[in-house]
Amino acid sequence: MTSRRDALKLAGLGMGALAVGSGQAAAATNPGTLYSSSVAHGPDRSYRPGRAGTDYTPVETPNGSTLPYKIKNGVKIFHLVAEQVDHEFADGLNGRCWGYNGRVHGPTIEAVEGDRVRVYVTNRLPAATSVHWHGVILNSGMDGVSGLNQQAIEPGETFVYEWTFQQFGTFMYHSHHDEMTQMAMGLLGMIVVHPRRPSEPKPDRDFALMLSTWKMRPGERRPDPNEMTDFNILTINGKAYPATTPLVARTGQRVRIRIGNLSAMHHHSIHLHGYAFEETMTDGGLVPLSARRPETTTLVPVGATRTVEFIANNPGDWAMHCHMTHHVMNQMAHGGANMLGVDPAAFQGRVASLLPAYMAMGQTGMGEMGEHIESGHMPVPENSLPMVGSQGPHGYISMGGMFTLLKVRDGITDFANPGWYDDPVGVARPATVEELNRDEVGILNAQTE
Amino acid sequence: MSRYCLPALMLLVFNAGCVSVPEGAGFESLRKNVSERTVTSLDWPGVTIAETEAEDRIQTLLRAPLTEAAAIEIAILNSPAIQAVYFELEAAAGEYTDRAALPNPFVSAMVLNVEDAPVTNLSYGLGIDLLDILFASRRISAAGLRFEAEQAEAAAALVDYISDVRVAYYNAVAATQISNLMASASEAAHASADVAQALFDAGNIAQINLDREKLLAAEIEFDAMRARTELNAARLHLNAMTGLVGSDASNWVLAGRLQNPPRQLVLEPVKVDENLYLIANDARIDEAGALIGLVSASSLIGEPELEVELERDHGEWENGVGVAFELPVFNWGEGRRRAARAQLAAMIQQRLANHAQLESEAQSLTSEFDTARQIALLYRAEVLPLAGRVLQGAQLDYNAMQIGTMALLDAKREQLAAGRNYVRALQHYWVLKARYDQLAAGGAARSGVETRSDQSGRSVEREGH
Repeated sequence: MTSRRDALKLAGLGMGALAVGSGQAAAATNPGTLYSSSVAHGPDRSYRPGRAGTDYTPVETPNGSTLPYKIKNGVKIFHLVAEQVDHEFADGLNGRCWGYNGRVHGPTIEAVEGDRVRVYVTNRLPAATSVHWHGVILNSGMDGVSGLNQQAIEPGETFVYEWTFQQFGTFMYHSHHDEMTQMAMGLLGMIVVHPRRPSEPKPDRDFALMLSTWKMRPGERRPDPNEMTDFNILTINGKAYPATTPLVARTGQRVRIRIGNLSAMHHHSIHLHGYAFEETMTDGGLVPLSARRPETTTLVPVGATRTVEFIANNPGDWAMHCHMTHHVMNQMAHGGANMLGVDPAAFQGRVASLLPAYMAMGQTGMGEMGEHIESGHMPVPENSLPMVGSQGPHGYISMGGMFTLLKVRDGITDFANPGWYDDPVGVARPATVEELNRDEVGILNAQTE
Repeated sequence: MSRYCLPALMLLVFNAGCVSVPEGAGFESLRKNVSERTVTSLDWPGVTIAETEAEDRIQTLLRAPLTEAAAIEIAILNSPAIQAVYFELEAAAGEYTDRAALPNPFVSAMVLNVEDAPVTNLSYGLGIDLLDILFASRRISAAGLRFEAEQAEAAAALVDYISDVRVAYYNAVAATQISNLMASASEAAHASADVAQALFDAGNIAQINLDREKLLAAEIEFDAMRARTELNAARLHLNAMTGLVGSDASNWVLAGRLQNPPRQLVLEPVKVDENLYLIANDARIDEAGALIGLVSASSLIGEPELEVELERDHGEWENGVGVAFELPVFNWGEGRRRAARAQLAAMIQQRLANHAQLESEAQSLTSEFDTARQIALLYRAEVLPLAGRVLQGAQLDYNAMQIGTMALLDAKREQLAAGRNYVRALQHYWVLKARYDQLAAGGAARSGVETRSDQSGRSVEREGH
């Protein structure tokens, strides 16, 4: 329980935060309590439940959802049900995962700083579980580490957690019982807490993205929690490209993207094309204005969130992806021979005489693999998604995994996928002979001719 | 008295009688016996079929892909080993005729000059082994039993031989299939080495990895060479069994592959008591039993002879009848009687052992044969489709870039290995089936059976004479 002294301190922090907020950023200044608050908190402080649209711009979780709640006596009541979920990572690839409320990952819990929340957790898994509220400042007994803070929630049991959000920011929740297994199976989700009194402009578009990694060999139907290094399904909100839903904004809107990473072993450097952005928050709190710098890539470590913001002033279709190149492949294997530069003439016929369906491949890379597979002449195992990307407006997009799109359009009011962007300025194309001659690009000219 | 002696002697001879086996009669009996037991028709080139006709038939059979039935027919018409059985049986028939005949009497004549006498004295004698006469019917019966045993043994030899030809044929077919599969496995290993070479040339693998692939290809090539050698040995063995030599031995090709076993097992029951070797055992035991009285008699009264003499002495003719025999003063013949009894007992015990061995063999073969059938069926129904699916899965994995070409070729070799194991399972089944049929037809499928008891039988006979 919070003591009077603590309450005063919290109240002081709130005031400080307000003061700081008015001066750019609402970060706490008291060492040891660096989390961000925009108002004072304490037992003698209470706030009415925050209202979507009024108190905050609702966050959008592409391919996901927001956890509904009801209000009882001023408390927001949430209910999470941990259960097995047959989850589709992308068309053609399903897995028997564990999730919350029928989803992988769990729905985003959205609240406003100062909200009193009560979260019921029902366990419909075959194993015991618990839920940890990652980054949320609360009393120890609610922190969710089984054995340490509470008993594990046995199958069939429902536990209740309750606290007041005394901070705002981007956080996460995940199982904290047999973490290695349960997180690898998908038991995680995002928490978004809006500031009660925002010191910075509200975003027009607010997105929450959870990054995670999985291992399922082609043909398997259940993620392998024992994998430690060679993850082959890389997802944003549980989806691998081309199943990731694009982020859509209107030109001129302020866009906030909250990125959490609960991958087992990998950090992700998320790169956005077409924009420079600022990293405004971590799961620890607001980044002071003085510490912000323009970036095009933000590194999201395992067990952390990063929030970036920018004005969508550059219309177009923009790739946004992890820049670790193996993280934008679908079900890539790493044990095969390197075929790059190999001349297959010496063995193609001999191998094909033994294996009529054989076709040498990989000699020039893997860029065409997805197309081969999509065309159907190279069948792959059932329930698999090897190398698959998707058809784009100008050919095949040879990307997969942790890849999505930011689509910025002028004047739109409907934020459904607007389709491919037709760039009025111009699209890269083969150079003409006249151009090559004009600019005296001799060698290329010769090749063109 | 002399007027009665000669008729009495003739009566004894008539009583003894005689036996004659027409030429070829033994073969006809053999042909009938083997045909009933194996559904195989026997012919004897030069006797029951013209040699040119037999040769034409062999050439006709060799022009078509060689079937199991054709291999057996060729062996029957062409195998010297089978011809030897026919001749041995003919020899046995001759010996039977000989044994069944009465021993020839011995005749003596003597001229005695009397000093200063105008006439010479003459002496004529006619003698015969009395024991042969007295025990003639028993001896002829024993000879018949001996011939019966030899006929059964000849039939058994042919049943065994036909089964051996069948097994040789199955082994040749299996060796052909395995050699072909090993050739494919070797081709897959060489293809893998080619891939490794291309990878090495591109700078994508190290020398050691290339060398490992080449080493693997060489080792598998050796296995393929061994399989070819085994195939050659199997063909040569079938040539030996069928008596094929020269161009006939090298030009034939096998028809098809080993067939899958039937789903339902219908077994011709093995009637051990009708086994040809046991029939031969029985006949030889009966022969020994028939001859044992002769041993007893000869041991008491050694070599009795009946003699008739006609003598002219000083112009007067005289005649007389006499007998001569060994007087059992020092040797009462107990040793010979004891030996004969013991040898007969040994033959009976050996026959019992043979019966037990055949019973055991029948049961064991039934079990092994059915197990082999089930394994072959499971290979066909389960393992081969599984191996095919594994290869198909490997191809899908390759398409999905989960494995490389060399791993895909490994999967191909695994499938070929499953194919070889299937062929071996089929080979095992068909060989056991041949052995079972051999046993059911009255042969001895395995070497554990003491098939002949010539030694003890002949011993009794020698003692008897």
